[in-house]
Formats: sequence, structure tokens, C-alpha cells
Amino acid sequence: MDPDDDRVKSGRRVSSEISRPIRFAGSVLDAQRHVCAFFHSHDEEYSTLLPFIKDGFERGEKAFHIVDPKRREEHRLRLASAGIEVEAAEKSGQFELRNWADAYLRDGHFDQDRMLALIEEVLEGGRQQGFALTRLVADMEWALEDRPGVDDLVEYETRLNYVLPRYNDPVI
Amino acid sequence: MRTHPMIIIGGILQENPFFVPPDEFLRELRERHTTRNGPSPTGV
Repeated sequence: MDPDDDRVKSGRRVSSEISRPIRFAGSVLDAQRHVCAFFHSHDEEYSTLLPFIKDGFERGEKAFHIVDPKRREEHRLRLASAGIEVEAAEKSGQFELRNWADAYLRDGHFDQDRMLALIEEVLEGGRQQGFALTRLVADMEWALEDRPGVDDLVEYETRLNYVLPRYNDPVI
Repeated sequence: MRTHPMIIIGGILQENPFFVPPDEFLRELRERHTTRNGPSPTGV
């Protein structure tokens, strides 16, 4: 059987469930799905994010994560500890994990126009792959460092509010 | 923080009371930039 069949069927199944509420951090995500999250520790971060991330996997949605390259393996282990089959999800296209350098900091600097285009590309791409939703989770700790282009981050974040209302996908 | 309509603090998701819509926020950024650098030169 073509493995793509499973994904498309799964996508169709999930499409019928798209109206199901998305629970996240003790509440339900409403129409506004651009979320800023502050954590005191990585343990607190994962205790909040993992149930939300796992729920997306179980519903057959796409997961697109951007991480500090130094924490890439730890991130994969944290997902696995929640029962997520990381490698299988990567192989099927359900899960994509990128380092900062392959997203926010391509060519070593932050370019807000390029990043806005990437976000749209990812969200559109998820749809085209047959996923009802993409849950995008990005670690932004690079913004605390003195990186070229970081001064444009605030403008980028506000401009993202023009883009995201066109999608149902949560962006954390 | 003012650029996000939703926020998680203390592990709880809530509406961000400090959120500023993008039109207003971009206007504020432009004004800040003008105040810092002076008006852009125009004309010949």
C-alpha cells in the first residue's frame, strides 16, 4: 500500500475533526492562535507544551518545530518521552524539526521578510501535504542574543498578525 | 509581548491584555524611529 494513502486518509479523517477544540495550557485556543509563552525552566516549558504537541500528533496534524541546535537531541528525547514516535513521524512528513540556522537565522542573520515567507510556506505546505492543521512551535531564545537583524524581531512579530488570521494553525 | 494576542504565563493560556493590533503597533514603531532619527529628508 502506498504510504501516502495513509497520510491522505488520516488528513481527511482529521479534516472532519478540525472544529474540535484545541486544549492548550489549561484553556482552549480560540480564533487568535498567535501565542507567546514564557517559561522559567525547560521542565516547565515541556510540561506545558508536550500535552499540546502530543495532542496534535494524535490528531494526525503536522508538527513544525524550530529549536536551538544545542537542544535538538534533547527536544527529540522529550517528544519521545511523551510517547511520540519521532523518527516515524519525520519519515512520514508529519514532523519537521529545524534548527535556528535553517529558519530564523539563515545565512547567519534574521531577515523578517524571509521569515514571514517561510511561515506562510510552512503553513501552506502542511495543507498541501494533506494535514488539517500545522502546530508550529518555535524556540525564540536566540532573540536574547546579539544576533544580526534581531532589532527587526518586534516588527516581524507584529506583521505576523496580518498573516496568521488567514490560517487556523497555532503558532507558539 | 505586545505583539501576541495570546500569552502563556505560569503555564496558563490567556488573552494578552497588552496586545496592540499591528496597524497601531507599526505606527508606533514608525513614530519611535522618526523621534530617534529625525524626519526623513524629502524633496531635492
